[in-house]
Amino acid sequence: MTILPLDHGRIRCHLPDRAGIGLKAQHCEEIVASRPAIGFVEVHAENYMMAGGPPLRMLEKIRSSYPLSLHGIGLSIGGDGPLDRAHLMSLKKLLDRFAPAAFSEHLAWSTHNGIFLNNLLPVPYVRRTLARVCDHIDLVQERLGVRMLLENPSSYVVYERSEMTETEFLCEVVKRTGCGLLLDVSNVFVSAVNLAFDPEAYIAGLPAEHIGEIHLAGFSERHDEGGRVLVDAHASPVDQVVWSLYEQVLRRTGPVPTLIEWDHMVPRLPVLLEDAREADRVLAEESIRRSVVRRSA
Amino acid sequence: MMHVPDDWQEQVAAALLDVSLPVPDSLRHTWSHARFRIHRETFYGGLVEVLAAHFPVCRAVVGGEFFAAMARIFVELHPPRSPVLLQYGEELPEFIASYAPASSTPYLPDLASLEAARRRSFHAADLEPLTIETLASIPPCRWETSRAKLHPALEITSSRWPILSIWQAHAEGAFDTIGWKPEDVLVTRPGLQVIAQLLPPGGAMFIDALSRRATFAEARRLAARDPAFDLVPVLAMLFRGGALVAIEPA
Repeated sequence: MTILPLDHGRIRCHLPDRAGIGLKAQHCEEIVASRPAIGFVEVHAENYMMAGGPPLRMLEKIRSSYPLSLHGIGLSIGGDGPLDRAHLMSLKKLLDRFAPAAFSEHLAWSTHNGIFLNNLLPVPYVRRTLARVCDHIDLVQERLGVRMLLENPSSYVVYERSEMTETEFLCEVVKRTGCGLLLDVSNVFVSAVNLAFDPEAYIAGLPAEHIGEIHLAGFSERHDEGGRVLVDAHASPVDQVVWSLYEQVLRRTGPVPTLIEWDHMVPRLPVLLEDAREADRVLAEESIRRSVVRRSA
Repeated sequence: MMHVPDDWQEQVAAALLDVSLPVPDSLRHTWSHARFRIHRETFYGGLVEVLAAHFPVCRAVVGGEFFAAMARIFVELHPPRSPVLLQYGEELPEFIASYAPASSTPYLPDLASLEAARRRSFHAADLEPLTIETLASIPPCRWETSRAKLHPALEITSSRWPILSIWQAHAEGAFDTIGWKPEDVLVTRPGLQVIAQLLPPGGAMFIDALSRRATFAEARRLAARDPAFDLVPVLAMLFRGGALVAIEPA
């Protein structure tokens, strides 16, 4: 097995190679008071696009103690239409004010004809959309002055006439735009079950050195006419099967900043911190394994 | 070879919004109908949840089921026009007023207006308010011709119903006997906390005039159409609420 060198050629996002948590309003006071040992916090950019008020002040306070990852959910990078310039400006304002260590968005679309569809909808993987997604990412990186990370989607449906696989599409986007990848391991597993593909082959198909951040979250399960369906619900602890997949990912990438996401039915802070501690343990093991392997090589 | 149609996005968006439409052909056939349902649920269910979070007292008044059914129709008629959902539901009060099943709760539209006003106040720009000490620096003769610059977090909600009392009963468990009379509410955000104060007679008219750049004398004249108007308690409320940013002499 080839071991990739830890830093050589790897995308540098400035988050530490530690576990972080998604910042929730109800946990802020406790985080400020108890300063839990987490590597970073991540927020949804759209939740901070207000003129002023308590949430922005609180984020400033937390930002002074932890590195920040800014995660966009509404830019509609995969959309057919032009990017929303006003939304880009709002992102720029947040980047200027909070100087996050990383900025990420999704390979998906969410706005059509000015209506926000409150979904991360799938993109057909064809040459035409590839060109458009790359144009959009070029514009984002130019306007925001950062190298962004693009997150792989969780999928329930796919387009009949796609010309390439999702990993081929992502590889090409990375090659053409120089952006990095945010690998959501839970999304890989959710999509793999729903669309019947091999999650390990999917991960093997991605350029490991361009993975700048990892997301882990809980999924929910249901059954319909087509059998078992997983939903990327962000409402439960990370599943054991995702932890195993995560370990495999780290074998390829080395330690990468890892976020525990929990957006619905958010539990008390200690429950989130438990998953973060587990991610930190896996990260530490991978570091140790690498230094041992390197030394004995 | 077949291609993804040029209007693939239009087709998917239309089918997402209109649940009576079939799932577009461009999406793979096997089980796509069942799977596409997840996206429709995320749109309708997700946005109903957003509205429930933005209007918690309205929801408490009518109950979760009634609120969800009402919000579902609102979402269909007023889908969000921005990925920023912080103020989603601004048109809900107006919608409730036209929603027949809610007519048995006639104060519901105004209660929704008060909740929307509280959210606007919460998210408004930060400006340092004047303290009561600054009053002393204005000579009495200048006062009359001065104009006020009001804080962006100031909101006024007026109602034929006792909406503040109803809001307090549900949000704070203040179940004193509610007097069924009109109420004007001053919403402000002193020290980064949204507060609501019950305005005395003429108070809303006075503050409204100030917000339209009337001088203090002009605003007082207008408010005095209500014979019960008293300037001092209203000014005290404005200072207590951090509602004044500047007093600008003529």
